Amino acid sequence: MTARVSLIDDADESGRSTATLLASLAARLGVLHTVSGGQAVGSITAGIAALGREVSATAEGARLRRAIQTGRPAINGEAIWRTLRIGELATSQPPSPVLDQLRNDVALLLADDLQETLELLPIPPEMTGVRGEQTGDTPAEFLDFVVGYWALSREVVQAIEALAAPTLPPAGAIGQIAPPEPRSPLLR
Amino acid sequence: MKISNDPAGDGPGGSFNEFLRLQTEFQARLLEETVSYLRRLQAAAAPSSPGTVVRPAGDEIVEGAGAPGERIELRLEIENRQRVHCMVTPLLSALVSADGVQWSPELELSMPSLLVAPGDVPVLALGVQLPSQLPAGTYRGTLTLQGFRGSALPVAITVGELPVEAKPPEQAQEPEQPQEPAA
Repeated sequence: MTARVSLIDDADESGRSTATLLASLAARLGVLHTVSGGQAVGSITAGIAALGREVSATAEGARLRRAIQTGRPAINGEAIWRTLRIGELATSQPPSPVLDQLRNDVALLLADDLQETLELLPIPPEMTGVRGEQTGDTPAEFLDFVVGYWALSREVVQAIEALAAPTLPPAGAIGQIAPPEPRSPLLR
Repeated sequence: MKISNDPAGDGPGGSFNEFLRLQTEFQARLLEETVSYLRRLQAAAAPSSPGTVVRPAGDEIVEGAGAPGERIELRLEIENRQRVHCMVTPLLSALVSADGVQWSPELELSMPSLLVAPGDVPVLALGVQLPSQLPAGTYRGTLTLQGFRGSALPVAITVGELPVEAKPPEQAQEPEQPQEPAA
């Protein structure tokens, strides 16, 4: 028997639609004018580390984490992370939901009502509110960040390949380039 | 007030050190709480990124069965009820049998992520290779759809006994010979 699940909107949010995703993207870009570079980078780093903590609980993530943990990269990475206080920077900022943002941006690229929705801008964005306040104070560790970066990068690659897949020409295809245009005195 | 020169704590130095220690601890805690408060405030004021919730159809378990060395397939139907496309990335947790054997399976996927259009119901076929040395039993764990809320689904993989003809020659032909105890 095949198990079945449904992907639905969160009841506490306005849901994923072209309008809400576009408003979210516009708001993210707008916020960049009001926060420092350190805050933006710290928040993204914290978000990647939070993703890494989640993925580290799976078999594949844990295997990758153990492998890195037992080698020189972990020692050197921890030293850089601690000495340059990257962990403090990340831990002091709220984690950015990097995976949701990536998926929402991919969904916008495939939306069939994007042009009409762009004409509706500015659309007021929804704030994170109480959900944001509930983000824990778990310190962002170097290994969390590495595993999260791996998971996010893999998702980026897969997303771009999935976007290209419907119109991707086969590798090794042989075609005919267009012949040169005839010479004409009008084109001089 | 009694003041002694005892460095253990009664002297003026000791009292002052204790005062400094308490002050430092207080300031550090104050800073920590302030940063935490500002962090929560920033998080609450940040623009929301609408997410996805996974809702199982019932109390179903993602199940599979096979013999050691075989490749099995776990199947999961995913219905996208949202109004836009959704990326789905399945991940398996470590699986544990009732005998306490832990197994870290690896999913065989040509595409680790799947792009599901609104209204579509694709079937996600997750190939899992059962190691040839895996003891028989039922291994339980969870299948997670990465990044979704409430996404852990129970998984049960039943591993049967290896058929006699499929066993390695030394095991199949000479089962009576006792094993040498490990040194």
